[in-house]
Amino acid sequence: MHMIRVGKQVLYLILFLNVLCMGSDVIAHPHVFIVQRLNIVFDNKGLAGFWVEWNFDDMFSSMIATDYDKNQNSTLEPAEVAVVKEKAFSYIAEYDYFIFVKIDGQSFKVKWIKNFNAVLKNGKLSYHFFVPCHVKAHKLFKQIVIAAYDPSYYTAIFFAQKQPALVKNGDRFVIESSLKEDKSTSIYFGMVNPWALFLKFRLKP
Amino acid sequence: MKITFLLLCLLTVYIAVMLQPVFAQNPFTAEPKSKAHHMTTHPATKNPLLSTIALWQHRLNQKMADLVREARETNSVKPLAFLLAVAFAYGMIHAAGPGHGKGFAISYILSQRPRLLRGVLFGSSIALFHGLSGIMFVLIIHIILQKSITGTLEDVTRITQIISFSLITCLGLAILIKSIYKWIKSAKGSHLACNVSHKRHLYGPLLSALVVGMIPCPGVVMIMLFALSMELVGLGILLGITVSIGMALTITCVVVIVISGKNISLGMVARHGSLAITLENLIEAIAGLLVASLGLLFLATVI
Repeated sequence: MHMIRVGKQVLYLILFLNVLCMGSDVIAHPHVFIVQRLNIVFDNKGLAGFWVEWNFDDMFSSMIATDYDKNQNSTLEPAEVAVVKEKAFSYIAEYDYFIFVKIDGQSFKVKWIKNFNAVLKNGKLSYHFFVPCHVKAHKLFKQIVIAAYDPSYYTAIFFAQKQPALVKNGDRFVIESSLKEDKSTSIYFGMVNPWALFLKFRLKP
Repeated sequence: MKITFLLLCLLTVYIAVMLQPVFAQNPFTAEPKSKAHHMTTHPATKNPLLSTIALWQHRLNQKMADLVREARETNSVKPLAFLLAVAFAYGMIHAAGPGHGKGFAISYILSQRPRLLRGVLFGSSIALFHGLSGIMFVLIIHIILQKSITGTLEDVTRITQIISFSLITCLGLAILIKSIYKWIKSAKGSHLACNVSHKRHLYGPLLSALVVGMIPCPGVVMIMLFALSMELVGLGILLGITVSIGMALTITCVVVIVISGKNISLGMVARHGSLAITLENLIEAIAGLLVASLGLLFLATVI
């Protein structure tokens, strides 16, 4: 009986310790969910950049639609897209558009993006934009790691299960790719390794 | 002495982890205040649970949206039971992640010695106020005032944060001053017996919970807006309440574990009489200081 009592006490203390550490975490947590697709674009010289497609959850979509689909026709016209860009996208430029790129292990800062578009279809919102990132191909492999995450963890970004990444104009190159956790990067006070696209390419012999 | 050392170590670790403010501010719609608040500062222990929580939240969020659509399209109450179960689970998992006042709740509970029932009332009320605040926000801002949600949510969140964190700071200072006063008195020997027998109650659990939970829950706000976009106001309110009940269960579990853990730790040193009293006073004082520091720290980052 004594052993059981001591066991229970130890169990409670372990739980207590866990709760102290868990509960003491910072106060941001995912409220917005994105399913992401990347479309890697090559030109004659090598990598030209990549298209990012973010498909938002229904709740965030309805929030944006409520505020910015002014005529409430369930689609976003160019003027509305411009407002969405200004009021519900451009702020994340401060966080490198949530896109973090490494070229051969060296960090490449995403300072600007091109061709932003926001689409509202069947109540679901998606953002589309192009990230210019020129990397010339050589005989040896160049390695590019593309991770997308919100450092504040207010947004959780997942790769799509179907066709998470596509390649365009890659015929001139040998290309290898995989999706996995980037163990060399830690976010949210080091507690989470973000998922990333690992892309290797070189000139065809 | 080993237990004392362990508890002090725990509190020290707790304080060290707590003093890293990051804000629940939507990065898409809120103007960034300072990038430093959002960047990883140093490596810590990996927590695979966080990724799992995020993934499950995403799945439940999606399921909830599908079921609301189904209810709207079929005009039936058939998916309602399953929908409420999903909303409840979403609330539970949502509150299992960081935030939702758990840090304050833990500090506050550590600083008091409440009866279990009052602790449960305190924990569940935090979540209920947090959720209800989100529901009220949407009803007032969107339906009555017909103002834009995104900008207003940031403003309201900021104002309620300033009020909440200011009150929390005052609360922490009151606990600290009271505990120091009690300590001085017990050192003089006049209140020794009183301290042993007297159970410290949680003062005004509902009011304290309101102070912590008054900030609108963005999760509930978004669920409400989604239901409103389907012209299902009643269902939105029902879902908001169910999500809040789910969150209440998680926060209550945390509070119960903290109360039990603290009681067991103190029980282990109870046979040492005066040591137990000193230890409890020490925990109360440190926790009071922690509540005040957290309030101040969070306040400094919002103003």
